[in-house]
Amino acid sequence: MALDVTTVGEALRGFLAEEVLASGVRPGDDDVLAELGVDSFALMEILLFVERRFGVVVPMESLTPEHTRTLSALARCVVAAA
Amino acid sequence: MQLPARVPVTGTDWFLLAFERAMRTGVGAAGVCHLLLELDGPLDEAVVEAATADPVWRWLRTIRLERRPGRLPSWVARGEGDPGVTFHRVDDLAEVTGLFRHRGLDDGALVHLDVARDGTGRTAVVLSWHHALMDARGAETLMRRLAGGPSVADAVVALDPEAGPTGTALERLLLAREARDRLFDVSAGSVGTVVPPPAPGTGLVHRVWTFDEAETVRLDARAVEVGAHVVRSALVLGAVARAVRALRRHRGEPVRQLLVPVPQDQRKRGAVGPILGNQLGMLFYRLADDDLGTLPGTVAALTAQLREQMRAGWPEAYAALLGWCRWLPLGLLWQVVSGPTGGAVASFGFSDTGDSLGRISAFRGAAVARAVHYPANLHPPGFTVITSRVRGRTVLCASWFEGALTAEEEALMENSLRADLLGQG
Repeated sequence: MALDVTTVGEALRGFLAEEVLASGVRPGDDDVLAELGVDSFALMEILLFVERRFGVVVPMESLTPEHTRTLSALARCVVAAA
Repeated sequence: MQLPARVPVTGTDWFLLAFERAMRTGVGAAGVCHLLLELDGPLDEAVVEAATADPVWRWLRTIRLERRPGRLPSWVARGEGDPGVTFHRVDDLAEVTGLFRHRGLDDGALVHLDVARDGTGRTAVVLSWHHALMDARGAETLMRRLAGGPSVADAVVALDPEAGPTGTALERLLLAREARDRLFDVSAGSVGTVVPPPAPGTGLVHRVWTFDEAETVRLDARAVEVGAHVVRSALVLGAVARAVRALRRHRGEPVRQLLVPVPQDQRKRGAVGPILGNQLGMLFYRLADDDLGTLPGTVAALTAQLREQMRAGWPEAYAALLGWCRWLPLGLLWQVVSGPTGGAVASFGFSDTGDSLGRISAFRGAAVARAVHYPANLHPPGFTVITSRVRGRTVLCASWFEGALTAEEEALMENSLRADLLGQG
């Protein structure tokens, strides 16, 4: 499946809003995820969601602070790993 | 504000109560936690008394455990809440740990506030609570409320019964069986511990190791070096595991495996409450001696197990297991939990509270200079470490029973930790 950043980003946004973040919080593309409370366990939940949803396993070495800082950065990281 | 008269215990509450029961018949100490705030200046008693007039605080002061046949055990509100605060004068705030209360479930209120002032006018505020009542995040939320934080003016108290995992009853049963099988697999050998059963009435030792801002920057770099850049807690957990291994080797005791349960906050990220009830899942890490040879190797083992457990839905399986266990008598639950490991249960306790503690920046207008979580030190295993990140500094608090470690052994563990965390030696 050819992935694009917009599709992945929207999927991540929905997952975060429904499963990870407090009620009513919907992250923007450039919101700093750590400031929304996304910690390492939450990041792991996101990665497992990506595996289930897109069949993409993102290698740990790709998950640098730069690549996991915002929703858009994370989406680009997932597309790059596809 | 309408607060509930009755709230069912969570599965983790009940599990901790099983510990309480075992400790009362053995060591005699209770699973009590403490949260310390050191303030730069004085705090008027009238200000503190105003804080303890908070309705949530008064309600918590009335909470007691109730068990009735055929019903889920519950936290119930009984009587009128009192202020629950004691004021002290000390020569040095370092004496505050001597004020820590270790009262059990039958000793009255399960939360208490102690306020101590030293000769220079500096103040320490200590919140003590029984771990069966709430977890560290709940206690932080409570402390923020007492401190007058505007963001927690409407903090949510647990109003709903434990949600529990989704799925059919059969699915939950299968998950629970999987959790039991994974948890109780001792085929890799006996679980290594470092604290023998203490005599009844033995006191606790606490050691706080603080890494300043520069050292914490070094810690962050170290996390990247050893592969803990995603799961940062694996750096500290791995270093603690290796320190425990070093201690056992120093004693001439081989390590076959270390078993470490690590609580995982189940609240949604950014959610304020609830305060009452442990909202914890659990991850269980098993480290063989071969895993502990190098810090990168230990971190790799921990990270792989984290990913595997979360992929397998382990936290949900654990929640299902503990939810079912609320129907077991405490003595039977303890036998189920401790039997397969020969009573060891775990090698040591570990918890990482992240950076939430640093958000308590002031108590009723007085700036917080220092904040420390002191863990409940349950036996078994009798050795517990909790780590927090507080405004750029990393704080580790270790707790064990008096006499369990010699001064030489304590130094050995501290040196091992610092060497691993800072990349020294």
